[in-house]
Amino acid sequence: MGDRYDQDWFHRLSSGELSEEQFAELNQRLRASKELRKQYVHHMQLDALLATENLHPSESPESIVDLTELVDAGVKRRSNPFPYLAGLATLVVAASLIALFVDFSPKSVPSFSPVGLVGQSGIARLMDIAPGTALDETLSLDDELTPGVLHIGKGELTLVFHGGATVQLSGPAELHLLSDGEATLVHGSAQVNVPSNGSRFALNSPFSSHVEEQSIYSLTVNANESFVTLYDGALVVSQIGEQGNSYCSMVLQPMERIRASTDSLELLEPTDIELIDRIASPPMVELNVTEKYVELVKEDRPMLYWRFDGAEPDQIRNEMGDGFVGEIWPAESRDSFSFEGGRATLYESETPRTIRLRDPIPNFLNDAFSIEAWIRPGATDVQSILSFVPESADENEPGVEHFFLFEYAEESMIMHPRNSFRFLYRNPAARTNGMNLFTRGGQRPNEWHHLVATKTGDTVQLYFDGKLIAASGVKHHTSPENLLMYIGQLRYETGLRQFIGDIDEVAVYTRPLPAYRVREHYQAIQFRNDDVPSRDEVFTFLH
Amino acid sequence: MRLSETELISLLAKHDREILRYIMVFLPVRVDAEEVLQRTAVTLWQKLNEFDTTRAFLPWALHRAYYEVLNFRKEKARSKLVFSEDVIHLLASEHSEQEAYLGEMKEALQICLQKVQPADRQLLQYRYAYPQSIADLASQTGKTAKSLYRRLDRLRDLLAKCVHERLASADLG
Repeated sequence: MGDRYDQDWFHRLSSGELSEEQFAELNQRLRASKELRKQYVHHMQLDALLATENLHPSESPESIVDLTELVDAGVKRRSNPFPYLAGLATLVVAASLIALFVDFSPKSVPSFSPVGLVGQSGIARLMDIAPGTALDETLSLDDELTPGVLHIGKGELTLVFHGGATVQLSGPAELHLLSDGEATLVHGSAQVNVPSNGSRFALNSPFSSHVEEQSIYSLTVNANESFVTLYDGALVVSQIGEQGNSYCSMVLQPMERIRASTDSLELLEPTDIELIDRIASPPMVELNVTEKYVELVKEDRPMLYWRFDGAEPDQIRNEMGDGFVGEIWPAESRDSFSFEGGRATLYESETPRTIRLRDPIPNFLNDAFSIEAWIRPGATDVQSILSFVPESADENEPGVEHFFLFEYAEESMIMHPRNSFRFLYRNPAARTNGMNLFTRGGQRPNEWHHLVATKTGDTVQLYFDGKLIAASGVKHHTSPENLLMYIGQLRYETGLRQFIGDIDEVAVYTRPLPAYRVREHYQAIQFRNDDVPSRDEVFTFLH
Repeated sequence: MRLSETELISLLAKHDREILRYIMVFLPVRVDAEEVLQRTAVTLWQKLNEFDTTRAFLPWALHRAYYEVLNFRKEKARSKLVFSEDVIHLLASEHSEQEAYLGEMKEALQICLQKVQPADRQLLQYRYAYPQSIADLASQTGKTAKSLYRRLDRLRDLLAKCVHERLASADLG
């Protein structure tokens, strides 16, 4: 059948969504691979069958050749009733589909009422809104929501909680957002995806709570009861008493459905489970570093550009010249790294391991700079990804002096959005103070992201996935020390805060990249979907 | 013996979908494929005298369609959204090698479609008959177009899996 990545390309080809560059790449790949040609021919045949064959096999299809041209060429014409039938069929199909999906209850405009407590920060982000879903002035796409009450009438919204869970809300509905890992559906329907490597998420109804660390399920709440259907993973369903405590609990397995009310928790008989519109597990995407991306980076003349392509053992090549070469340290930690696929993968290790600059470099962080990397965390613990420290720093001292740091954490000792990246700038290097800039939170592990930190004059900026998301003023200071650069943990002696995941395309510039250039870099990357069909697919077969 | 015009019309009515499906392998855009189908029909009529009535009609028609695809490609040479000539040739060879398998896909698909829920089958019908209307359908039903396309993609993938499994089990006898 072909792998997921190729099928996705074929889908997009059929939908006319491929760009010229992508089409050219597909052309090249088809030229080069007989297996791909075979998959392509199978795919197109199926698509063409769906497009050309009547889906009600009892009726014989009419001819689709327009005989007008043959008439012009002197051939007799015969009547073709298809256009008339096509028009009638449109009305019938559209009406029946509308009847299936449209809610004819009175319209109400979705709105959000925050609770308004001091010290609150965002816990979820509004990611998607269905067309025709009206919003009032309290809501906009991409808004960060604090704890509060969300109303929706007709339509759909998709929220991503900072803990990682995705909730697609179908109206009419009322959702109480409690924290980045908990919410209550007071009434309405929701499709929920709690990914693996995400935090535990609880979606409650007035009658039941539903908690798990990895699951895909739907929840519907009416006036007197709620129904939850599990599609993947496991789910602990508890009947809620008046005090909000659990009376009794069940562990739901995939394809099972439970009904909860104030006086019962009931496992329902198996039924035909329809292929409804559920949120699929986020695909595992790989970076496709295009030639264009590499050209753009080189045009901007970084002093250091590590691509981790074909890395020699214990040495990381600098694409821009002989200097600023990296090395694995200590050498015996080589097994904690992999460089397959043109990226550096760092594994958990009981002993310190890092990729570092082989030789110190003059301190360039006093003045304008840019530091760029593609990062995919593989875990949620606090992780030091990339840092610059003074060469003179005492390795035996507790704490670490930093000039510069990229980190990722689900949560840590300092206040920040859950599952966010941190950019720290300190000059002079120290163990405290400095300026922190954070991404907005909700960045789950196993997702690639583009980070660029720049300094222009006395301002530092953080770009995330091509967009400027934070900036701050900093005091100017000139520190004379040379620098060391570390990737993978907090210095190499301690082994603390190991970065577990992937890093690629690390570039260091001695000038600030302008915003448009950061965006161009980001847009030049393509993503490949290597996901296999997820287990959340429920086929409508009747066994 | 020469094929009559009436016989040509009858054969076209019988095989036009197969010819269109063949063309769509090289020209995924439906409008382009239908254009080439019409041109193929005209060419077949113009070359009636060349058709050997002792042989099968469909291979001859597909052969003509292939050259119409190449001609169409030359007209669109400036477009970067058409396959190169060598790739078209390779795809034609692959299609020829897969002829038996592709021929059985239709029946397998009909069986697999019977197992799809009526609402999903109607959604498929809508998508393939009126693709530009998915956005309208999304607006009318309060769904995002993205979610409808996602659902369609999953339906399509599941159908492909079903067809493949049916044909694979048939191969095992």
